[in-house]
Amino acid sequence: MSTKKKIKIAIFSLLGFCLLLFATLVVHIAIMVKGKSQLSSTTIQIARVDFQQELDADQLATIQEDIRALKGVKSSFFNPKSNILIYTFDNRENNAKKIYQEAIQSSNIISTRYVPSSEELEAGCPVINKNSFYGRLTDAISAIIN
Amino acid sequence: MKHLLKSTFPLILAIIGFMFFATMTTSCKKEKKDPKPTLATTPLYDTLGWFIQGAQGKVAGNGTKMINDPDNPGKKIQAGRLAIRTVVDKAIMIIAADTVLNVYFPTLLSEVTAGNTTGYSHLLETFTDFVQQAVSSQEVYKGLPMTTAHTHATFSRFGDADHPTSDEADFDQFINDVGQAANSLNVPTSVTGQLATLLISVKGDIVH
Repeated sequence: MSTKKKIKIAIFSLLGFCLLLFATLVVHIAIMVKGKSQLSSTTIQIARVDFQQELDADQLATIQEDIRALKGVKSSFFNPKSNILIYTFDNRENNAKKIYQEAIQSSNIISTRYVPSSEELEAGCPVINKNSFYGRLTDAISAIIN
Repeated sequence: MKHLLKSTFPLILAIIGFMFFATMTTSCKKEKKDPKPTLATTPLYDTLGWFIQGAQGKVAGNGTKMINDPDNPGKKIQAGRLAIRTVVDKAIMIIAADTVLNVYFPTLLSEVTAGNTTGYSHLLETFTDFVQQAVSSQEVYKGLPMTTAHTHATFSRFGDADHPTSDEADFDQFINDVGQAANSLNVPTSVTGQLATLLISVKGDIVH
């Protein structure tokens, strides 16, 4: 057998093996996600604003009203003990920074938009990285078979 | 080429056979489906399902009753699960604004690219699965066991060497936040009390 032929066999075997591994992954994901409904509210994101000054009832009412009037905003919640405002929105329609700028920063109340650091995101309650290759493949297969 | 295929064919066939066998028997331990599965329920799960549908008529059977999912158009959801998810949704908002507990849930606030699945939605789902399992006895929670997930030694993302487990005050605060969420949604005090009792039953797994 010539060297050329041997190389050919090796390449075909390797390609075939990779293809089979991928096919196994697809079958594995398909079996796991079959019958499992899609997550609800998949694109609903949550954001936080920390106020560095006390808000009176009128200021709070105005901010809540303004924020809820913005496109994509679903709900908001203010904790008077921690002076933290939480809002949820659909990330296909708006983003946390824009909402903060339009509804809060413009009010001239001293506040900061809280964004967790990468170290903080490495800790705490685990969440699958749905934007990874595996996450995207799982979503794609789930969308086909469910 | 013909010879090439002929020589590698048995090998490929053997690999396919092995992978198929491995896929079916090991990695995906999925239980065989009952043709007509009866969903487990409890009086509390039925009460929650009854409550979310407007608290009309008899309570029994309302937990597992399939109704339209308001957040997922075109899909159905068990009424009991919808009630639990509504409380969990509110509880997550309260926890995110609670400086005692929000340190444990930074992924809630992680920002993803527009259109992609958020940490919030994933937590909402797994948290709902956990409570639904505790309330209804249906085996829907697929996450880590509570003890493993709340011990730094077995799950490095939780706490650190100085704080290897959560403390009692944190857990009490958590119960408090869930209770506050239920109250804000006008869930009857007796139902909230039963929910709290159930959650407190796993306290030993989380605070140890």
